[in-house]
Amino acid sequence: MKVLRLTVFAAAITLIVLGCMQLPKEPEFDTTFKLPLINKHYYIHDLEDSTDFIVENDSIFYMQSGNISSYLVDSLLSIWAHSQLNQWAPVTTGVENVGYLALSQAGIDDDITISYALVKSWTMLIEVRNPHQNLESLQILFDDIYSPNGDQLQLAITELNDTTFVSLDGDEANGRFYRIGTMDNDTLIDSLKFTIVPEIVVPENEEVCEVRVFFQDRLFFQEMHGNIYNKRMFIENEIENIGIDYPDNLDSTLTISQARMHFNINNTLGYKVGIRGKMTGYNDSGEFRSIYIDENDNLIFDPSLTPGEAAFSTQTLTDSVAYLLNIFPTRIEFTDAYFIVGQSASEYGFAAAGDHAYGDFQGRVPFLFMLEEGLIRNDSTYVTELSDEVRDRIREFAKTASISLTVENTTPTAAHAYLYFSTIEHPDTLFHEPDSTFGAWNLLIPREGEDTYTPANTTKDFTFSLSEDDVRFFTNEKYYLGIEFLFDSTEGETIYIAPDDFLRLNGDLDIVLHFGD
Amino acid sequence: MRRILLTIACIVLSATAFASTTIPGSALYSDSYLQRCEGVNALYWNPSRLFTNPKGCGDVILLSSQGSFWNNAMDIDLYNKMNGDSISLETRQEFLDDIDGNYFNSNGHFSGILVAWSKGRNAYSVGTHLYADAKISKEYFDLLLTGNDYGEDYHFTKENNDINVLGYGDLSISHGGYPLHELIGKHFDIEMPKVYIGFTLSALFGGVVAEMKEFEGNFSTSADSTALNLDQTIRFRYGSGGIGMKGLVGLSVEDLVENLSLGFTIDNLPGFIAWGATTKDKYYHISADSVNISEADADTIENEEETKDGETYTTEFPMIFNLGACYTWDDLSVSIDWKQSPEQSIVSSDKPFIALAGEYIIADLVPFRIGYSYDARYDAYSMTYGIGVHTPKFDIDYAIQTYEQIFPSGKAKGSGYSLQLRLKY
Repeated sequence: MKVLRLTVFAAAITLIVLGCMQLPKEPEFDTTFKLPLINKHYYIHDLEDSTDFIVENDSIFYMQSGNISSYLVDSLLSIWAHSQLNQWAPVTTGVENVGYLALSQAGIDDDITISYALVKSWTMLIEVRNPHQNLESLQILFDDIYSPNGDQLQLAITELNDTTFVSLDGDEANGRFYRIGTMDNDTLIDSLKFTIVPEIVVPENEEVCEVRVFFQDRLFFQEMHGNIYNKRMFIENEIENIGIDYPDNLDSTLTISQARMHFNINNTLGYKVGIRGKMTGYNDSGEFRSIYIDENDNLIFDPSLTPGEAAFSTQTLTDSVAYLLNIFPTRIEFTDAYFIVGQSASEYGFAAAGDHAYGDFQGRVPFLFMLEEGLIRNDSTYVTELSDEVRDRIREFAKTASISLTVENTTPTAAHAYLYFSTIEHPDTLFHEPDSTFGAWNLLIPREGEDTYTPANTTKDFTFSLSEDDVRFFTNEKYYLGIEFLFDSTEGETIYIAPDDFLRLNGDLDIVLHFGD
Repeated sequence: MRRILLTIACIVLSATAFASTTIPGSALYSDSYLQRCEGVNALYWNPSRLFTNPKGCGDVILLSSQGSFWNNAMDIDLYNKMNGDSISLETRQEFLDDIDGNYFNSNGHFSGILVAWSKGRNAYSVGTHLYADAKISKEYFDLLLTGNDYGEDYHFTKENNDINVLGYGDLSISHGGYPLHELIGKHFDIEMPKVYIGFTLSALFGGVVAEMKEFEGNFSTSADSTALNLDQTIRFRYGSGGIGMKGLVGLSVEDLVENLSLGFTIDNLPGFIAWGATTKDKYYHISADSVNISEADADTIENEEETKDGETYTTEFPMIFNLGACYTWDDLSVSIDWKQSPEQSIVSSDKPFIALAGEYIIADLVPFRIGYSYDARYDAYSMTYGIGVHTPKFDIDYAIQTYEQIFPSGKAKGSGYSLQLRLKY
């Protein structure tokens, strides 16, 4: 033990001799670290996303987009046909017994005339009465009707005692249909001629029976060429949700102008189609506005030139669009809306089952605004998560801090920026009951010049000191930063906000760390 | 950062040695000791010199120790200024300015002899050794002590940031003082000076090992204060519980010229410790690319930390060559040593170590000593001043060491001591 004491004594003497070296103590000092805190550019053109916001010709538009589609034209492709012989007519030997099935009938506005058609289904009724005792059969030959194999339609009636119904359904599954007319025919067929030939050995000019021929039901076409006029092809009543996260309060802050709505329509019908009906926009505040589209809006879209191929055309609606979009709708609904098919009675075209009109609409709003004074809250808040280690370091070392913020505004009006810190993300808390003792900060970025709303670039610096208690806020595992902007009113004047305009927040944190006790 | 500082403090306080086989006896002479060692101290330095034991006699060393530390920046005055209280910015800047080169370098060595004894040509010892060497880049200290500025780019590499620690105990047996000249004289009729040889075998028991395997880092903030970049990768290996061995052979030539003794040794022939009981690999990585605090979350800051069991590995002790000479004239002696290894390691240097020492003994009772050493590895020198009391039965010796200063003062960048208790029989 004595030896050990001597060793310690020797070491101590050495230290003393060598310049009175002190026993080591934990050093104590403060160091300031400069760390980037925030760097946010709120460019107008950052809104561009090719769907909701676009830039064209150095102007930015935000767009409410949605789809639009009509029901299929199938149900419209049908007509009534009426026989001249729906009254009983005698069949006489030695003469040509000719009849006609009219494809339109006075008093019934059918709105379709054909030059050629593939008939999906029809039911023809042929009745014979008072047949001669020697009458063996009747042959009925149709001039403009062709069977699926391409031959002219010829019917033979051999049982003459009863009324005869003839149903001529096409073979839809195999695409085999009865045809009216030929494809190269461009002459409208207003009636279908047929000839009745009796087989009987009797003297000429003798009546051998009475016959009447007519369609019992509508003719339904698989395909038709001809005229359609003012048929309504209803728009599917779908609700289009618009995927835009508008900043809060935008609707009461901005008044938009010069809005327009583009309709981009694909039309597989060989007829012009036009949009009519009601569009209603709804916003998240429960507000809604409706506009009506009629013939005066002239939203008429090109016909297809080739069967099976859609024609694409665009038309623009200008009237009333700003009124509709000023509530910044988040969904748009069509009600009682339809495409009107055939814009004139003389329009010759084609249509087939499965044809329809479809496409989308884009409401484009140029960034020309009148600003009402109000807050625009940036919808996205910024969350910061700090690791346990970092939080421990802050808790252990952080003493005080200061935040330097530079705020830049290039929009042509004055703006305020408010920053809030909270550990709770919900807007009600974040923006109204922030946790931190130092938020909210009001950063006013004045407009340059008092009388004009010309674009300017105004920068202002702000510095905030954070106490030790303030710094403790950053020891929370997660905290949120919310940003609000308040624009001054433009007092009824419309201003133009360019794509390159921005609000910028750039800030750094000078944090004083204390090492030692 | 506190951990770093405490680590530095521990290392600095732990001890140092520019010479790899420094023991309490050698430290009395600034490690100019190859041809000065006698009795049991020859076991660690030059076993051929066990011939100095009179026949049937020997010595015992008990609880002797030696320790020293050195750094390339802080003298004792500055250390005292930075020790506790509030360190002014001027003092911190003074410390940074005083760092010689790109990094703060500190190392230490401690060795203790629990018990060692010799009798005749045999010697035995149980000792402990701790080596520690740390580098921390000047940029780290700059960042820690003065903070950062926007636009500054800090780059950290293993070259400037390194830690190596090695601690082990030894159980050594030595046989030496064998008169080679007599053996040769029996078979060959030639005249030759007295030549003695000897060897030492040591069983090594690894206590602790730690070494930096990878250290790469960047820290910067953009000049416009908008973004912070951080990238740091550290791989660190540490372990405990190893076993190994080392060998030492020595040769001594006496009276080639009257009163002149020459010697040569090869240490670590071979030398190694195989670590296997507990080894750990620690990996730490953090990176953030162009972020600011408001964006700091798990998506923007990658943070990985992993500690896994490491594989068995071996710490090699490179060979060390030592040449020495000592001239004795009555009560005065002077000596010179040169030491170098082909390889750099925590226990060896590929750059020369040169030591000089002088001793004058008054009345065969009180020796006064002065020593000088220069280590090219650190481009640093030290001075040693010692005194002792020698009696026929025991010796007590004590020395102090100062670095980068001729005389002990507050301007020294390191210091050391040595205390040896030796019984003779």
